[in-house]
Amino acid sequence: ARFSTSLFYNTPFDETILEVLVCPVSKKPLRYDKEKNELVCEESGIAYPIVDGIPNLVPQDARIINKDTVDRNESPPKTQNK
Amino acid sequence: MNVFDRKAKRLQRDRSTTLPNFEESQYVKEEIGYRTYDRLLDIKREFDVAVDLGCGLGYVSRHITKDTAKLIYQCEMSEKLLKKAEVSPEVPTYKLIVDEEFLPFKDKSLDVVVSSLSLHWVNDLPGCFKAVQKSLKPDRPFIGSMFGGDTLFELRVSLQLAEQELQGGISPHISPFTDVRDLGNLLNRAGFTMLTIDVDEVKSSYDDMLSLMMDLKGMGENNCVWTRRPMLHRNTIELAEKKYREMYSTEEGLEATFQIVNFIAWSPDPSQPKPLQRGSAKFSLKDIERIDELTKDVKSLEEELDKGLNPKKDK
Repeated sequence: ARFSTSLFYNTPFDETILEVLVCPVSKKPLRYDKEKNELVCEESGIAYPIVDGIPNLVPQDARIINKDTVDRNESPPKTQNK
Repeated sequence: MNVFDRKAKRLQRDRSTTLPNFEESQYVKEEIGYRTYDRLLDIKREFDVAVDLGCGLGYVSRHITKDTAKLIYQCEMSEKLLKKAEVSPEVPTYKLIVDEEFLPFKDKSLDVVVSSLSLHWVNDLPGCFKAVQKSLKPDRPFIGSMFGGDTLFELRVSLQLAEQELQGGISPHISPFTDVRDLGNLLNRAGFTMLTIDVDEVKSSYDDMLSLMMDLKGMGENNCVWTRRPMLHRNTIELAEKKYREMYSTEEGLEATFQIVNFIAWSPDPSQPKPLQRGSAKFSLKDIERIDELTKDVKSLEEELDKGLNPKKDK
C-alpha cells in the first residue's frame, strides 16, 4: 500500500504537540497529566482524555475536574460517553 | 440555531466504518480530497504546520509530501474514522479528535488549514470560519471544498415528489447545503481576504436509488438534520425510485450530481494587495476619449500608486 496508517502513529503521547494546542472552550494552554493520561485545562477545570495516543478534544467527552477538592483522584464521574 | 445533529453525525461516521461497502463508497471523498490537495500544490510555499480539518480517512493529508508541509494535524470528530485514516508516508502526522465547531488551536499558530467535504455538517459555519481565521498566522491560506446547493438534487426532487404525492407533505431528506454566494459572504465576514471560489460538478451513476443511498451511508453522509424523519415508507421509496428513473435516467443508470464548492481564502495581512480607497482615482471615466493625452504622464502616476499600495516592501 502506498499509504500507511501506522508509520507516525502518535503512541505514546508526544508532548511537543502542546505547543499549538489549547483548550477549545477556554482557549487556554493545556497541561499533560502523565498519571491519568489526560490533557488538563486548569482554567475551565476540565480534562480531555487521550485514547491510544490520540487526544480527544471534543468538549462533550471531557471530564469535569472538581476544582475545590485538593485530591483530584476522587473526581465525580461526569463523563457521559467514553 | 442548530440545523444538524452533531452527535448523530458522529455516530453515523463511527458506524460507517463497519459497513460492508465502507471501503468502496469513498470514491467521491477520495477524488475531491485529491483535488483539494492539488490546489494546495498551487501555492508555492512550504508550510510548517498544516491542519486537515475533518480529515475523514485522510483524503487530503495522505497525499501531502515533505516539500509541502513539515507537520500535519489530522482532525476528525469520529474516533473510528480517524484511527483508520491514512497518513502521509513522509510527513509526521498527529491525529486529534476534534469537533469542527470547537477548534483547539492557539491563535496564529497554523500555516495552512485544509478541509475537504466536511464543513457541510457544521452548524455554526461563521463561528467555525472565524476560529480557523484566528488560528492561522497572518497571510496564510485556508483551502477547502464543500458540497454545494445542487448536490443530490435528483434524489431530493424525487423524494419530495413522492412524499408530496403519498404523504401530502415533504420532510428534509437531503441536508440544506451552503450556496456559493453565501460561502463567499461567510468567509468575508470571518475576516478572510483574497477569496477565490469556484464550483465543480462530479456526476456518478447508480443502478438504483437504494445503492446510491447505501453508498451515501458508507461515506458517513446520512441525514442528520434535526427535523429529519426517522423512517421512509416503502411505497415512498418505490415511487421516488420511479420518478428518479423517469427524470434523471441516463444510459449508465441513475445519475447523481455532487456539486463541489472549492475555496481558497487568506488570513489578512498588510502586505496583501488591497483595493484602493474610494474616491482616490486620479482619472475620471468621463475622460476616456482623451486617454492618449492622459497616458503620457501615467508613468509618474504609476510610481506614485505603487508607493501608496505597498507601503512596505512587496512580498
